[in-house]
Amino acid sequence: MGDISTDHREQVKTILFLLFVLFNAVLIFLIWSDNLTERSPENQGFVRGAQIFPTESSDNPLDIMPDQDLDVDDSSIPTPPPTLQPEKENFDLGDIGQLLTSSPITRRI
Amino acid sequence: MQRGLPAVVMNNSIKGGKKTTQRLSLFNKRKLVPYFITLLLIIAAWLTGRSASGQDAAPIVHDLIPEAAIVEKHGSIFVGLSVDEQQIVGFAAVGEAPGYSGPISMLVAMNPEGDIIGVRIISHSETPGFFRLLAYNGFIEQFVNKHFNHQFVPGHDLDAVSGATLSAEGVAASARQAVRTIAREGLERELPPEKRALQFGIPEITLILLFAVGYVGHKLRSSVWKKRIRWGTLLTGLVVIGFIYTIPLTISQVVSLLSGYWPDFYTNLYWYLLIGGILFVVSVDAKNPYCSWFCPFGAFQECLGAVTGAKRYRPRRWKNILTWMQRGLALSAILFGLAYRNPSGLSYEPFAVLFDLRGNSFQWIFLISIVLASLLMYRPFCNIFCPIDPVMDFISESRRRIREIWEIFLQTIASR
Repeated sequence: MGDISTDHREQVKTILFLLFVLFNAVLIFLIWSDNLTERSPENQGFVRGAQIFPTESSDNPLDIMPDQDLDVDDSSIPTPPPTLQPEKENFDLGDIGQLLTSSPITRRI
Repeated sequence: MQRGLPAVVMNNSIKGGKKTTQRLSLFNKRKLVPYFITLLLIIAAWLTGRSASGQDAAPIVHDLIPEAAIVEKHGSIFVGLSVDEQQIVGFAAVGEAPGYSGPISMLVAMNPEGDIIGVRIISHSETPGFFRLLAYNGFIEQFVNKHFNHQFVPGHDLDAVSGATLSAEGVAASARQAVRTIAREGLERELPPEKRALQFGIPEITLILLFAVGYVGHKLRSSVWKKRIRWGTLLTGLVVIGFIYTIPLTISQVVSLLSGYWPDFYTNLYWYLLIGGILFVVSVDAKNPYCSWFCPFGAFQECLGAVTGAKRYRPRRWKNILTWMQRGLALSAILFGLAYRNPSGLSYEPFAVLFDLRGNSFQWIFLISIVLASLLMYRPFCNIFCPIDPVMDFISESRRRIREIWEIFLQTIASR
């Protein structure tokens, strides 16, 4: 009777252990996926002047290509809003660390 | 003696007064095949990454010098010209310097007066969380409007970024390189040579002491003192390498080493001491000086386990599968990092989340899961997921094989 109980406990332990391994293996794949998405060119900003614009240069009305007419009245061109980082739609749990470690002085954005 | 095997591969030993003959593991197919497959995959990934071409900076120059109607390449710099091609409106150049996980390429644009008018990161392989920190703290913006004769050194004329020191230094170094190129080839001004001082401080001293104390601890016969010293090194590693400086060994550093992305010696002496020290001890003494002795994340798990008296747990039936899963995770991270020359592309260690409180949602859940499991079993991350452990095994295996080949070589010479 005691043996059956021990075996049963051991089986439950093994199943819980395997569930833990499986759960974390899935998390690792999600971390990889997130890493690769974050590194994609769409998420790399560039700095001009004191602003970071999205990478897609076509979004920027101030882009001048060599074959374009340069006699343009700049005042009529709308300036893109000076956003320093792409806005996030949802609050990310990862922001907790950012909020905790950034003082009001160093956290400029 | 077995038939068909040359005498040199037989290793005679006497155990318990009985002479036994055993084959050297060099010819043990069970170990040989996975070892060489791994080696071939690593070589193939390395070659793939080597042949991959870098990003062309030319199309981006217009973004940084919008006044330029025409952009021409002259030597190492881009020159922006007005419509009539009579007037130079700006210069641009690419600088490249090693960051924490690989090279950082940066395009810097300057007006003819020598003021920086724009910068752009062309490529980098830094951990996204760390690199994002530079943007959050406005580090990259600081270059704009600075004159070419600035020093561009974090902590001097640039605000340093706590928690992403090496990435910030990499960005600054690549900017310095680009600025020097423009000054020399565009503005025709020669800047004085850069002053370089070897950075040797608390992290480096602590690391050397940890290696030395660990070595002494290994050799001790008294298990009580060995245990005490081990706890001493573990707690020092946890506090200094973990919580204060956040500079543990990661798979990114291993891939950086293999990729040839070796950081600047003067500013990254710690990197060389850590990687070099571990490789030296594992190769010479066949002992792992890091994981059980001063790995800060291992120490953290062990501290939690000590509170509840957690014991090692690994079901025997699943032992092989778990071992190969851990090896698979490590190999995937290495192969991807080498093939795409992106050392931290598939890194997953939760070190930065714990020590720097920085990471994405999945990394936080992963950390919490490991923390809870550490209360129930001994070092769950190290024993199941850590990619460093299989790397150490591979180095030990390589060492054994090289030694065996060397022994065979010596025996062949002796038999002649």
